[in-house]
Order: sequence, then structure tokens, then C-alpha cells
Amino acid sequence: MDSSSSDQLIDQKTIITVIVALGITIILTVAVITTFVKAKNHPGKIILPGGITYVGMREGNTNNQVTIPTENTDSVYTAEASVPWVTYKGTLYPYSFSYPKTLKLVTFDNDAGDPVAIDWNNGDPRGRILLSVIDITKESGLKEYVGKPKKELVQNWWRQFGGLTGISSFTAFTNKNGMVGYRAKFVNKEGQSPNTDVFFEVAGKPNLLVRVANGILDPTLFDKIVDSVNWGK
Amino acid sequence: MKHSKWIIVFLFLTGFLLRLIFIPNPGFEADVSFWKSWGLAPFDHGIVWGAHNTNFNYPMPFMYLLWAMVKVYSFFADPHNFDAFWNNHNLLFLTICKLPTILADLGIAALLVLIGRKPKRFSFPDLPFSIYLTLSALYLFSPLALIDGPLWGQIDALGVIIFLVAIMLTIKQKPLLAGIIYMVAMMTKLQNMIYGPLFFLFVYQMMGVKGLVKAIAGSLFTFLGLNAEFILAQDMKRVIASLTENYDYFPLLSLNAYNFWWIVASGKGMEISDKINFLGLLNAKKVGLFLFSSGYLLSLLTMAKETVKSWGKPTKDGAAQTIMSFFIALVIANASFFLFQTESHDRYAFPIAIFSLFLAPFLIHSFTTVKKRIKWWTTIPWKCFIFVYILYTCLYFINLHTALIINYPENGIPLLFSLQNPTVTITLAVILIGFFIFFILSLRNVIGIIPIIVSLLVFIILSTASNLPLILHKPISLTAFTPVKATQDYARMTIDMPTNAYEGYKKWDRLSVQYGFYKKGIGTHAKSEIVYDIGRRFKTFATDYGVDTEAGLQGSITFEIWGDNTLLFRSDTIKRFDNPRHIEVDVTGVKELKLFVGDAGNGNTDDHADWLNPTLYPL
Repeated sequence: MDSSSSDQLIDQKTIITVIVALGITIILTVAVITTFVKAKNHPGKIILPGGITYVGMREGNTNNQVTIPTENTDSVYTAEASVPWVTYKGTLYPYSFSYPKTLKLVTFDNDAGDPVAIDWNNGDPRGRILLSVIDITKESGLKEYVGKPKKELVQNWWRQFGGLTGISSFTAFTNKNGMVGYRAKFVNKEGQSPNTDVFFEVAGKPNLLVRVANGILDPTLFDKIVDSVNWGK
Repeated sequence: MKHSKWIIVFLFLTGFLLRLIFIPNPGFEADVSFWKSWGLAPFDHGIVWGAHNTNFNYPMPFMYLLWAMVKVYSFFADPHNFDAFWNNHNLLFLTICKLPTILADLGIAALLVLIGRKPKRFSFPDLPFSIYLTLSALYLFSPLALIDGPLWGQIDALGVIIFLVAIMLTIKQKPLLAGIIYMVAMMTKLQNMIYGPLFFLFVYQMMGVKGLVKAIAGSLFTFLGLNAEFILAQDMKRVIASLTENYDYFPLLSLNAYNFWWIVASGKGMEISDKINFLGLLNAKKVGLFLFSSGYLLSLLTMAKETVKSWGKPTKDGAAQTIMSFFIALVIANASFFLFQTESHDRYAFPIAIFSLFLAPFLIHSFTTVKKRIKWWTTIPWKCFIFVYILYTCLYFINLHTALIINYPENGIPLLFSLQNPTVTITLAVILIGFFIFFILSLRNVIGIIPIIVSLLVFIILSTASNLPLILHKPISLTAFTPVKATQDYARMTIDMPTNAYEGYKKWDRLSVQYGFYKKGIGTHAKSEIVYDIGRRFKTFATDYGVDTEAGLQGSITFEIWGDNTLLFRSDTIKRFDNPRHIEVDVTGVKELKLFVGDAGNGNTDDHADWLNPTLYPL
């Protein structure tokens, strides 16, 4: 092989290398653009850090205070019949339930109860937990109910809270998915029972309870959500 | 090297693009959402306010970085737009928070290239540039580097590069700056604290006492400067808390770190307390601390040899040897920290992947001849290094990936989901420990046989000394054990002091019941449950008990002793003015000893309970 043909070979090699390098660069650039465009259109979900920490002021709230959860009794969330319902699935526990797509849900990270809350009316979602899982072996106030009927626990639930004085109604029921639940209304210090709490037993997991609270939800809509709660399927 | 400029441009460009691909992945969502919260708080109200109104548990100056992220974010979008800001697919925030680590990754690779250009200027071995460039490429395309920052959203690489800068400044004989930068590294990533003694020994070896004093001064002043806002607010208590509160934060065997304790836990490291009895009287945490201390001692001794050689004067001539020993020591210390401590996090071994790249040139130089280095890629030391390095980064990548998908399956690689099963993870832990042993043994001539033997002996001596009472069949106070679990309805358990001592040193006092004083014991409050793992090693448990003299008049308590869920003893109701009582129970074959204090059915007002001289008698 003479020197000119060897030079030619080198040139060819260089050209191929440059083409391959350019090809890789172009492929990676396209991949970057694609992932960014795809991500921009991803609806995502709201994730708040676990525990008590700062989540900032809500939009429109201009004072310099941390937003404190407040309950606006005048505002109730409801959804038109045309709004599609979607399924929410727990992150740590295999629970699921259906809810109207327009209801904004917030997930809390790093929280052992795998709670999900409602983002509504610029209030702090931490004050509007819709569903959470309770491990009664880990709650010091509930440990005495380990091994006892859940009915007894629910009837005495209010005793953990200084702001509650008793129970005004209690019903046992089974939802559409066969989950055994207890619906209760507790009495506050003003003698009122504004909220409904539903507690579901978890088959095969006697230490777990799924708690669902109505909060700002329209009662019919809340009932529909309660009926859709499921575990492990 | 022909066309090296273009090769560098290509490597860095593709390394950068590869990282950009991972930015939109929400990664470890908890970490990213904490960055948001801990950045937004100082952005809205300043750092001191932020430190008190968030659950921030990093060094305080790290909050400035998070503040800066939110500040940059605010140039493009409103961080108070709740729905957009807190969305896990907030692309803008993901980009801003992952960019510093991506730049750090490029910086680490660039540093290797820079050293490779003129190795002698950095006292690195004079090897072909292509070796340094290959090491740089290894990091740029390491799966480990790609998952930790660009995908996960963590800042380990940022902490390491700042520390590397401090090392380079030491090599360049700039002690004051080195000390300053070291403190910045530590305040960015607290894990850098473990390298402190090694780093300052290195400074001494390179620049003598004068250099050491300058470096320490630089570090101290930087610590004060970075925490100036807290000093001005007379709030150093919060700064100290941030440096200490992580101790025993997650009291578990292994926090998804595939290490020795992951094997002990049979792959359930996140479910088992590290206060379980493990070796004689020692619980797992203490054994872990002893193992880590022995490993750390080995790293110090590896370096100390250089100091002995050049006692009292800087080691300019033997700088290369000193630097090599230092990087070996860093790998040993880091590996001991990850592999042998309980409560070790999955990401703790990340810096090893970087330190070993900076160590590699020294090893290749030491174990090859000039002639063989012409075709360096064919040499045994290189082949050995590249094999172990690639295997290590791939296997450790699986560790990180599994830790990620346990929490966020949708953010991982579905193909790797099957690698979560305990057989795989335990095997990985065994291999990672195997790498460590291989590292020590293959470098035994550099590290020295004596340091290896001394370190092993120290572990044996510490363990034996701690178990002397058991070996000699002497009684042991239960207070020498750490409970696996301790809960009570008011205050917290106190050792050798009554309940009120939990309020602080002003309330410290001796245990006493009806003015009978005791040196040893446990102060607690009804209802309380304290569980110890005593490992079936004792035959009798004896204790006095009663209501502490400090309690109010309504104190009335029942005491119970349980062995493996069997009630061994229940007292009558003991009241405030009752004298102490004594009980001895047979605990032969008992693993879990539980001390329970009840409120005697009348509420727990004034129920300050004392277990006095609680003593175990060995079999």
C-alpha cells in the first residue's frame, strides 16, 4: 500500500468517525428535545413534602404568613355528570378509588399513611386529607384496639382529639367492592357534627384501616367515592 | 493524541446531552419536593426563618443553594403558583435543581482531563493523556453518575467536586484556600465531614504544620462566615442541631444500602431496628461503629506511613506517593462508612466511583513499567482496574436504581424491576463487600500488612472489651443496652435520671424513690413500653421500681415485666409515697425483654416511674 492510498484510508476512517459522532450527537439531541416536549405535556401530579414543612403562600394570598388551613363552609365541591371519573391508586399501599377528573388531588411524599388530599379554593391541602391508611400498631392512641373489633375503634375514635366530645351517628356497611366499612359522625365542642368519616377494614390486614373524610365534597359525590374504594385489585 | 480536542468536545457534548435526557424524569420525588420547600422558605422569609419553619436537616449553608434554585426559578415562573410549582413534572424546577449536579459531573470529568494535560503540575503520574481521557469518559458515561444526579435529583457529585477542588488546592500548596473550600464542601454535603481527619492529615503531609494551621483557620472562618446569619441572629443552636440531629435519625439496619447489614437483615434492612442484639452484649449499631472505626483507622494508618517517613517536614519530593495514599485512604474510609455502619444510606458509596478514578493513574504508574505503558490498555493493572470499576459502577447502579423504584416505580427502568428480589440484592451486597476485600488485599503492599492487622485487632479488642462482663459472667446493668423500642405517653426515657431531666441540664437529678437514691436506672412515664433485645444470654433480671420522688401527689403506677410476650411479673399499684420494691424474674431463653409501665387505670398524671438498678445476670 503506498502512502497516498494509506492517506486516503485515514481520510475515509476520519470521515466515518465524524459521521458516526455526528449521528450520535443528533440522536441524543433529538432524544433530549423529545423528552422535554413529552414532559411539558405531562399533566403530572402535585407532590408535597412529607411532615410539617413550608409549602409557601397560595396564589392571591399576599400576606406574609404561612397559609393556615381554613374551612370555607360555603364552598362545596361538586362535579357535573359529564365530568369523567378516573382512578387514583395509592403509592405505598394498594388502595384505589375513583374521583371526578376535575377534583384536584395532592399526594404527600415520605408519609407512612400514604395520604391523598384535596387541593381546593387556595386552602392548604394538608387540612383536607381525603383518604389515608392508618396502621393502628403505630398510633399510640390506638394500640389498645389491636386485636379488637374495628367497630369499637371507630366508635371511640373521637377520644383521641380534644376538640371532639362524642359520636352522633354510626353505621356499618359494605361498599360495592365488598369492603367492610363504618360511617361515623363525631360531635365537636360546639355540639355540631359537620363531617362524615368513613373507616374501611382491610381484609387480611387486621392492623390497617382506610379512613376517608368528606371535607368539602358534595355528599352524593362523596358517597360515590366511598363506594369505589378498593384494596389490592 | 491526535484529534484529542475534538474527542474531548464530543465526549463532553454527548455526556451533557445524555444527562439532559434524564432531567424531565421526576426522580426521587421526595428529595425534589424537599428542595422546593427548603428553597421556598428562605426565598420568602430568609434563611433563619426557613431553618425554623421547615423540617430542613442538612447543613444550614446548603439552604443558600436551595434558595438560589428558587430565586432562579422566580426569574422564569412564580414559585407561589401552587399547582405549577409543586407539580412533580415541573420541568423548569427539575432543570434548575438538577443542573448544578450535571455541571459538577462535567467538572469532575474536566478535572481529569486537566490533570491529564499536565500531570506533573498536579503531582500526578506522567502517563499518556489517553489514560486520563479514558478515565474522564468512564465517569461521563458511568450509569452511576447518570442515575444519581440527572435522574434521581441528588447533589452527591456537587459535594465531591468541591472536595476535589480542596484536594487540588492542597496539592498546589494553597492551604488557606484549601481549608476554605473543604468547609464549603462539608457545608454542601455533610458526608464530607468523615474525610476531615484524612484531609487535614493530607494538608499536613503536603505543607507541614504551618500549612495545617492555615487550612484549619480557613475552615473555621468559613464555617463562621457561612453561618453568619445565624450568628447575627444569636441562633447557633440551630446550626449545631443541623449537624447533629441526623444521628440515629433512621435507626434501622440498612437504608437500602447493599452492605453487611443488608445481608444480616436478609434483604429487609429497612424493617429491622439496628438496636437488635448482634454480638454478645453489643447491638448491631455498636458493632457497625466498631467496624467503621476499624476501617477508618486503616485509612489513617495507610496515610500515616507517609507522615512517619517525612516526620516534621513537608513531603514535596514524595508528593505522588502521599497523594496515592490519600486517595486509597479516601476509598477505604468511604467504603467502611457505606459497608459497615448501620443506618447507611443507599447513596453513601457514590464518592468511591470518583475517588477511584483519581487513584487509578497512581496505581497504573506503580504497577507498570515505562515500556509497558506505551500500550497501557493491554497491561494487567489497567485491565484489572477497568473490569472492577465497570462491574462496581454497574452493580452499585442496581443498588441505587432499586432504592429509587421501591419508592417511585414509574420513574425507573422497567427492565430492571426483577432485580428487586432479596436473592439478587443480598448477592450484590456480598459482591460489594468482596470488592472491598479485593481492594485491600491487592493493595496490601501499599497499605501495609501491619496497618491491616492493627485495624483487625482494634475491632477484636473493642468487641471483646465490650463483652467482658459476659465473658466473666458478671452482672450487667440494663442501662448499658439501647432499647429496640421505647415509647411513653409523656416526655422521653432518661438514663440514670428521672423523667423531668428530659427538659434539659437544669433539671438533671438522681433517680430516687421516697428519698432512696440510685445511681443506675431508667426514668420513664406511664404509659411506657421499653423493649430490649437481650439475645437469650441471661438467666435472671433483677430490679427495684417505684414512683420517683420528683412526681406529684397523684402518681400511681403498675409495673410489668414481659419476656417474649409472656408476662413474667405484674406489680400492685405503686403510689407516690411507697418505698421502692424489688423483683427478680427468670429470663432464661428470653430474647425480647419488655418493661411496661401502666397508669393504674386513673390516668397518667404525675406517673413518673423508675426502674432502679435494673440488672441482668448472665447464664
